[in-house]
Amino acid sequence: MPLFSLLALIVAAALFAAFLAIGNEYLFFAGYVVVQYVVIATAWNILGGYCGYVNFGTGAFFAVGAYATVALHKLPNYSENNFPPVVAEMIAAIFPLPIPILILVGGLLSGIIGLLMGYLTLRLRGVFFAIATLALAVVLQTLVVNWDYVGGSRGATILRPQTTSLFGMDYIHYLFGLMLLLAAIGIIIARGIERSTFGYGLASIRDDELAAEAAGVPTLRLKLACTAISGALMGMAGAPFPYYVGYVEPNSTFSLIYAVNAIAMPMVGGTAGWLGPLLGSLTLGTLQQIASVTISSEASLLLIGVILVAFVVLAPRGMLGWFDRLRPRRRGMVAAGGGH
Amino acid sequence: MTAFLEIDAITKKFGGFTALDNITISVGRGERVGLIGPNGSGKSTVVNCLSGVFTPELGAIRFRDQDLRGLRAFERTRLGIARSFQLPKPFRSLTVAENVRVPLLYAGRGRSKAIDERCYDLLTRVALHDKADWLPGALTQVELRKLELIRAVATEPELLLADEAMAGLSGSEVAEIVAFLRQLSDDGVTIIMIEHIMSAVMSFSNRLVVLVSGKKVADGDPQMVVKDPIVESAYLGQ
Repeated sequence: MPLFSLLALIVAAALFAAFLAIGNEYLFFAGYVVVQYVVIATAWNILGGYCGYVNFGTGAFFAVGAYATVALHKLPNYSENNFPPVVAEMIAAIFPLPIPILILVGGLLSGIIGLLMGYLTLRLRGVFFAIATLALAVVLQTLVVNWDYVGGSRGATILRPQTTSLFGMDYIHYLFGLMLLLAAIGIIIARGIERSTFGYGLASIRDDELAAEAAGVPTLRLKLACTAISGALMGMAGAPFPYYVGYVEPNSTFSLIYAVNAIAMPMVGGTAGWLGPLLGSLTLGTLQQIASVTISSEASLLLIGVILVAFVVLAPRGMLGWFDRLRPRRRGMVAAGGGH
Repeated sequence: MTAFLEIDAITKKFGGFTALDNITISVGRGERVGLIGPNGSGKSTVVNCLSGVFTPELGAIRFRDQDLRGLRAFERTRLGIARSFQLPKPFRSLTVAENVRVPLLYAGRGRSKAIDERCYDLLTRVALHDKADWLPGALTQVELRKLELIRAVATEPELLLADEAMAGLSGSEVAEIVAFLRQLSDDGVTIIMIEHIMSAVMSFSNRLVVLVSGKKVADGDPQMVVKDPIVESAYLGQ
């Protein structure tokens, strides 16, 4: 486990160094989006793949992270006009908060939303759970649209500095590096869960909740922990987003595209382990970036649709399924006709 | 001094249908109780009330002097009440060994041995150790039944509710399962066997409880109970 963590961090650092060496600015810009999807897909899979609950509200969790950042970003300005001078001065002294802090705040908030969602949808399974998560996204979007402080439906503009105070690093490079770090951490967490008692508990819930309870698994507690962790990671992916795009508005931040990608990427890669969402998000994410540039951004949407349908029909176990026969373990797989 | 397990006048309704009507059963430690009755008589409902899937509207269930009201299914498992399911419910994406590992991780109390070793020991008891890394989908019906039972045994129960553990098995396979349950009983586990196969029930139980339409109609020595005219008419008609 520590070895894996070390490797993940080294790979992330090496990627960052390689990007710097290539020195193409657009590469950082596009790379950020792809790596952001690595985090989102990994987070989705912790609930969807390990525990079997399909979350359609990824956009909401992502947006909670993004809007937490917007709200905090606007606080110094707001406090100057509305708070007593002493408070305003204090706020001006500590703000703007560094991005890593914003990521933690975004993660905390969306983790709490995840916990609430888990609590409200405890008795729902399958398609009913999916609909409830979609409803949650709609409710949160409506709240944000009507919240003037963060810009309502007009959206909010964030002016980010050109460089960071950290070695005068270019801001986009900095954001890309942070997202890479977050992806590495997300993957370390996902793999850690997979091989833990918690992971076995989640797998038993996915397969049969009644049997899991009968085996002594506290299904309720585990599900809540799972929705909270998954939601928190999604929010963390969303927190730096306003600084990356410079302008956020509800429609694009709560976009269904996050939900669709969050589901499609693990499905295409394979939901059984941490590697699936990573493979899926890297391939689909990169393809989408290429398609948006070479064809059009609508084409990139069509692309996900076609690929997802193709995988669901032809390779239901995702890319990882291609390698199943190479593994001597799990002999029953072949005899059972593909597991499920 | 109260009994090991006391089902005290429980009533369970589903809408207007009374599935269990004022059922009282008291079970002593180490007993082998056969619970029989025609289809729909409420046998599985008893199991579900005991294991925490259903909550009876009236009455109480006490296990080793503790009222089980409000305890969730997993808490009852940890208290020592294990169950197997009528239709085997293996964890299909986990291997046979991992299926046993889950209860060991979550409900196993004696942690003296390494968990892999205990997995292997348990699987050996039902001759599944050679298939430890298979997926349940590749197992035969009798193997699935054994997996279902050994997964329950892995929680180290004091009371085992075996819900039709032998349905659909051949004669020799039934004998295998009965022998396994016998062994468990000899090890000190109290067992309530819900079963349709009369030969199995008669050879296993030292006490027989009969349910008909949610009511208890007989309770006592198996040989006496099956000769009871009420029981005969319930099974064979008037």
